[in-house]
Amino acid sequence: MLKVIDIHTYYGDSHVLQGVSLELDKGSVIGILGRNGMGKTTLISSIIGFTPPKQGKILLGGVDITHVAPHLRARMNLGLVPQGRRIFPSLSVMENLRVGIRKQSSGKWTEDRILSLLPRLKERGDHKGNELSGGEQQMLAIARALMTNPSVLLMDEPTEGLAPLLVADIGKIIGQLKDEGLSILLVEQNVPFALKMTDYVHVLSKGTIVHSSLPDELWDREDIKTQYLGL
Amino acid sequence: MEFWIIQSLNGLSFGALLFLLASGLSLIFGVMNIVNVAHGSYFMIGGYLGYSVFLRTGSFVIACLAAAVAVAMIGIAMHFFLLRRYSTHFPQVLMTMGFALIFRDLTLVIWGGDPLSLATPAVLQGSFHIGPITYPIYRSFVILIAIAVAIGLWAFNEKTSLGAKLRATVDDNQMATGIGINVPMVSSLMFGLGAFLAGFGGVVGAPILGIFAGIDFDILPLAFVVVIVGGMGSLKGAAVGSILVGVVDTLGKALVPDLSYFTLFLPMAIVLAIKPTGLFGRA
Repeated sequence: MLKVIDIHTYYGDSHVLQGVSLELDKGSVIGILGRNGMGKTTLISSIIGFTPPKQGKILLGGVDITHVAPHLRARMNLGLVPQGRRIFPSLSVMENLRVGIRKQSSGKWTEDRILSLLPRLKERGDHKGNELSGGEQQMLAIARALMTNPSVLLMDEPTEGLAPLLVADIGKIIGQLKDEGLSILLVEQNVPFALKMTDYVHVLSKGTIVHSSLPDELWDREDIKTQYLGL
Repeated sequence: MEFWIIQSLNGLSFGALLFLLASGLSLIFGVMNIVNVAHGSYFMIGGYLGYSVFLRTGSFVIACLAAAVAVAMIGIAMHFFLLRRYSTHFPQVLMTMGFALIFRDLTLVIWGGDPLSLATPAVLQGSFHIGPITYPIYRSFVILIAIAVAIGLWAFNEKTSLGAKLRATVDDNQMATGIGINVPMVSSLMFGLGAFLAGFGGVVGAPILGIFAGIDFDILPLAFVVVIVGGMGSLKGAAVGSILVGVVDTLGKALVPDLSYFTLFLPMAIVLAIKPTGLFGRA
């Protein structure tokens, strides 16, 4: 579904991603782990187009989207659940859901289905985005991305700052999305959570992938966990 | 007593005109953070275009709409091709200042240097009388127009999907693109709406203020004061600020004409000293 080929991304003069490649198959969940500042969010930003790479290629469903404007990527079935949720504070919950591009006729994520998956949002429909709790905001960020009917979902630290019970809820939702055939790229700091949710993991350090394996194999690699994940 | 009532009403109707200019500037300067020195020029061009359209059609309504749409097109073109590429104030000021000078010279070439006047529409001529007060119908009509525009803008912003896209773009333009909103287009439309209101105000104001090269920079500082006093990007602030500036400026000019700029900027300094974000500005 999604193929990242040897991308190099810069912030001004700083060379953040130094040749990252990965592949995401349909219906699979790939984890990106690593400490802060190692380029995880930059990888997400490169794929959605906020900080396009200077070299390398990004293919979505076989189409080269490296130089496509971000708002068109969202229309090409790429969904984003960003770090920090980035809910629009002056929009109501329902407006947050409806404001983006919608292809309800072609896709299976109708507003009704999304709200039945996340019933809490329906009760809060008229509240402003900034009146929600952290967990509700995270649910809303996921729902907002689903409204664009994505085939690939980029999730940047969806469990950040959430209580254990809510983390379990998010885990359940990710499981359901996967069962629906969504391909998910999951960036996480919460290593046990990421290892439980993913089919394959990459560890990012200083802008390159330093380790790739099945989640269980990483769990047994004390050296990698100590050196790159701080566990 | 009559003096005070009449002058206050004059202040209100002038405030209504200011609102048409400042509500657009509040969008462009307060929300989009673009310093548009040519915003007063939109008001001036609106007046001239309205005059020419009125000469040919004889319809005040068509004059208002045609001039506003034409000015909106000018604004959209300026934003889409040039202004959106510059995110800092200095290049914006230089560029829009250049445009303001070009617009001024173009109006002199096309319409000449003599001030023009647009007749008050026939149905709105005359005055009404309440007790000892006699007041022109047209000035009252301008106040009603501004109230209608304020309600229309509020409804557009809060109740339409384009309004929601606009608020999303203002809240977080990068995230807005991330869910498929065409932010460059929404921004240009927003800029065009601001220009539309200024051009419209130019025609509506013409029967009161007249049409002349120079009104652009006469009225621009007042609009900036309204936006700063009312609070950047707040529609409510633009409304309250317009009334305040309109009344203070009118009374100041009537009572102490020599100190008119002082009476305008003193309240602004006081408001900013107490509330640096303006009356209704976001912190």
